[in-house]
Amino acid sequence: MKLDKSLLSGSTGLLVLKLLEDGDKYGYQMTEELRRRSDKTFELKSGTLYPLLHTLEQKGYITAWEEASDSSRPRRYYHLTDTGRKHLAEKEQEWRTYADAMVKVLKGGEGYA
Amino acid sequence: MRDLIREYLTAAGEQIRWDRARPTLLAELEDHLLCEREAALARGLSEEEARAEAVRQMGDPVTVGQELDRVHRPKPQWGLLGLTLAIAMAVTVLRVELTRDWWFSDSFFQGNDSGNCYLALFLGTALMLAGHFLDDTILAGWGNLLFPAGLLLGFLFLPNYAVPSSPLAEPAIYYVTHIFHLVMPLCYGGWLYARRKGGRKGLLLSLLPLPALPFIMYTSHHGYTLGAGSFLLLPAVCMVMLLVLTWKDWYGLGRVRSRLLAAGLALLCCAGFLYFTTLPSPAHSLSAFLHPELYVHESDTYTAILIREIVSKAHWLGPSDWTAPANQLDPGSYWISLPGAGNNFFPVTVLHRLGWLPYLLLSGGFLLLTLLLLVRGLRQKNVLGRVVSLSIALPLLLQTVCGIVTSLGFIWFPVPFPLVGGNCDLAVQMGLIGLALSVFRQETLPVTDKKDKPLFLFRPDQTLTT
Repeated sequence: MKLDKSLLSGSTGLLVLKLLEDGDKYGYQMTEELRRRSDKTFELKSGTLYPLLHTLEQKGYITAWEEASDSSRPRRYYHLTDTGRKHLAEKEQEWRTYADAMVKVLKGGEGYA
Repeated sequence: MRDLIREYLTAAGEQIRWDRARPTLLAELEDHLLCEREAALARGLSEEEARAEAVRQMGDPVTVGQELDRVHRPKPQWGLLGLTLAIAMAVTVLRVELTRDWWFSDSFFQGNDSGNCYLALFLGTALMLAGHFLDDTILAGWGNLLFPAGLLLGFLFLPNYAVPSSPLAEPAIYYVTHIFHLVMPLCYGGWLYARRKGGRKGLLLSLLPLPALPFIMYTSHHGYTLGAGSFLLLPAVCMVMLLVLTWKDWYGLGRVRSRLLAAGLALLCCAGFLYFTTLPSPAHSLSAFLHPELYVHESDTYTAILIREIVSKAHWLGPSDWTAPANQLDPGSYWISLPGAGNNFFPVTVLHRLGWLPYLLLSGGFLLLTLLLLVRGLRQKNVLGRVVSLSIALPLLLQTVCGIVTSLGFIWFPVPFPLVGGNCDLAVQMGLIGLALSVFRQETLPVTDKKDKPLFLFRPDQTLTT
């Protein structure tokens, strides 16, 4: 099933921060990990991913460092900062509240029967 | 075979207008494209198909480039430029107007020539704008050279023993002394940058040249024109820079060890500073600092007592009630009673002639500007930018704080207030502020934790790394 992109647009920052929660990653690794975790439902194009990563970096939620890849190409890794971790926790809570409310509404009047 | 990856990067790069940002951004896109290509090859696609698939996965290069261009643009610091210019203009007008009736003579130069003052303001504004649009990374290339060259210049030309008895040498050395005093923290910043991650050797090399600075300033022929405490200001600023960076594990010695070292060095420096500034007795010095009126027969306390008298008779707005005592040498002029009233003690002049409100506006403006520079400087992700802005903001803040304390009659570490120490000081310090603002202008550059060098440079005519 093809998803409406606007459903994802407000949450890509949350997804990217979540991907970095369990360790530093580089851009390609993040797109692959997101694809895997979402059973190929979510796909991040570089036009969305890199401007988003750089915006999050400017806000201080993530930092970047470099290391040579296996093919000796220098590679830019991203790291979740303490501020980013705090922001992620807030956004995650916000999302859960939103999702719970959506589920309740979508269930219709079941709860009141 | 068409090189689709190179075409993609060229198209994306054409949308990124900031030259300094482009290499790092394209390098990251190139790495992503090559990862996609390798994955496609592993799935059994041919080289040409793999490249086409990589490009397809990335999306429209123009959109990617435009989005990156939107995130990474230089941010001109018009607000801080305006604040600095407003303060510099106010200071210049006040320096001219408040000293207009002071007379000049060859032996007792006290007033400020309006032509020279406005010329310095014009020159300072030009230097500030030039500094603002300059690329601060040029300091990285000269880090190893500027500081030793400055020290050599200091040893050769500034001390009493080196001054040739020539009418031309005298004013030249006056300017060199002032420029040396103002610019050396920046040169030291470059020296520290070159020692980054240099381990114990790096720390030792950063520490060793520091004693040369108080020696040069103390023996300097024109050092007195900078204020009695200025020979300590320069090494103090450099030492604080070293301590701040050591605390942040600048030399790669490990976080705990670095912090212990910084704390130990800070204790040693404070003890040394207190020892040398409170000779012969700390108790006596502290008492004279707090209550100079108890030591009226000591020559050092004269200025502090005088300033306190002026402060006590100042009004909220308008001239103070204080009148200069007439004696054999002094016919009762404020400016003869307080040497340095036109430059180093200029805030006292503002208080005396205009009152508390203009004084507080001036001091508050300086404090706001210097604190903004320091706080923004310490927040820089780019390590070179952090060092450059620290080396510029720290002396300005120390000068402001010491200047405010001194202008209230608490004299311990008298140094000139920023921008009012003289025409040369005004022009050079405005240029330095412009350079600090150039760091803030470029703070949207992508940075990586490796001496801020771009990952690797991509040029459209270059063969791609595969």
